[in-house]
Amino acid sequence: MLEVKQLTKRFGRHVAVDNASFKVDEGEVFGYLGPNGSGKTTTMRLILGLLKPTGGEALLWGGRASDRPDIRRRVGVLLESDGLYPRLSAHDNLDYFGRLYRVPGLEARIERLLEFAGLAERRNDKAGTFSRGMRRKLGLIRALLHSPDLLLLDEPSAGLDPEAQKMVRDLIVTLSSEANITVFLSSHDLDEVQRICGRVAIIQAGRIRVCDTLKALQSSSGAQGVEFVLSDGARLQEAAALLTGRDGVGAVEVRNRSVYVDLVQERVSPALLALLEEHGIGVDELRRGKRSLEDVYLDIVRQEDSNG
Amino acid sequence: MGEAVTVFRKELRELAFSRSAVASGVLFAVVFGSMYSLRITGDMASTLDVSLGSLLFFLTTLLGVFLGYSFTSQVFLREKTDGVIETLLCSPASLRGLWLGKTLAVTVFSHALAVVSGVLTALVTSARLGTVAAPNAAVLAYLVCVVPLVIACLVGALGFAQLLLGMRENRIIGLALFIPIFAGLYGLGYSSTGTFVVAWLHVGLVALGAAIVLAAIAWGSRFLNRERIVTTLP
Repeated sequence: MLEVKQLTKRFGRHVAVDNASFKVDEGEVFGYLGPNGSGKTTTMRLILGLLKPTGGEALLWGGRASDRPDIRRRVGVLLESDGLYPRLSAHDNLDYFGRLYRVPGLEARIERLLEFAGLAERRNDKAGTFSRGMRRKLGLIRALLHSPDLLLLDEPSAGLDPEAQKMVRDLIVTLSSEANITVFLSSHDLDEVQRICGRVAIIQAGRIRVCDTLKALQSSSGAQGVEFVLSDGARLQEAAALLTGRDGVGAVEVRNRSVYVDLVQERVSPALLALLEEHGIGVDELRRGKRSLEDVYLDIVRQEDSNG
Repeated sequence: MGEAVTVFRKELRELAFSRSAVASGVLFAVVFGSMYSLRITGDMASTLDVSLGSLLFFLTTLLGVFLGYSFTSQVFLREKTDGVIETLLCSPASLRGLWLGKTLAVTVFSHALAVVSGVLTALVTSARLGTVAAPNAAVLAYLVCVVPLVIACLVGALGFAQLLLGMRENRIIGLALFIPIFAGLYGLGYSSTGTFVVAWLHVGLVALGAAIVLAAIAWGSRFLNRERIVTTLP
């Protein structure tokens, strides 16, 4: 449904997107990651037809969004700006966009979505009086108003409290699994991407560095790791401090009930286990650890930085 | 066309409910109305229909242009500074539809305020002189048909520029376009109110000029493009 083929965008001598290619299939939740200024927003603008490519193309259902209103009608967007009129009420914001998208049964749809987002009581308040989190929620239901087939989201949970972040995550997963809506998610929140995306592309300096399933990315990256599941969750920080900087140990990360350790030398784990037990820190389980998306992302970005 | 109507309704409603828009309209109507009204003195009472005709001719044009200029920024430029325009451009609405709806909304609102202010000023002037007179048909036709054309010219051109240009260029263009037009209109109106006889020829010439400029701007609106708008966001 979304096909990006050798997409390039130059602004003068600056190459914002360089020969990017990837596909997003129907019903997929696709994560698009990259540091600030890496070309994420430019890629989204090219997909949405807001910018003309210098080379290559970005196709939605085989056509370009720039010259096809019927394609734009099938896409919902939540960009960096919430896309709301601060001087209009929550209801009037939704009403305006609903009319532009010619949403059938608009009033009932607006009420349902306001109720869903917990904003029904503030339907008549101006969007400009809302908190950042509430504006983000309103922006999200504005993007869903016309029941799109594809959602393009730029940092959807930025500024939301943990509960609202969970609501957004659950919503995205539900939309994808139950309504078969495809989601293109550009985010800095690696934890969020790891929880909900099936495939991920990492862009840096305008170039796609990797594009693969999360599983493949986590297993293909160089170092192996082990995870020490502690019997006493209160001693996680102490254990991490003990393991940090030891011979053969790379990055150390505290997780939910465990300490994850990147191993530079495979054989070092029995020695680490002995070290923990020597300090009275009980280990319930030792398992081969999966690398987090954050480790994979940082490896790729740092590697490219040092090459560049 | 449907999208232009949707945009028109939303913008008109937002302008009408904007306290600052209505307050500035009333303030400028009172200031300029008083200045022009005081040009009509007691010795003009015998030819009050002519005097009021010239008052309405110049005052409504001046107010319409002034209000159109100030409301255009609220409707076009603010959407860029708020960042909403990017989301709007992702909707199925065409750029011409957006431009047309906004231009019409500002024109209708500015026209309504200008005509109401002009008529109230004429009534106050009549009361002050103790005589009642009605302006001729050419003036009435001018108020109803030509003033909105003139306002639409300015609003259409400014809106076009505000969509396509960056913030700094917009400030320069806005002032470069507006100051000479406003100063010229004000000076001409101030010197001619009370004595100028409005004839069908004047009305026709202004209407023709405005229609030509408006047609040129409407034709040019096909060159609006999304990339230009997005790359000039602040």
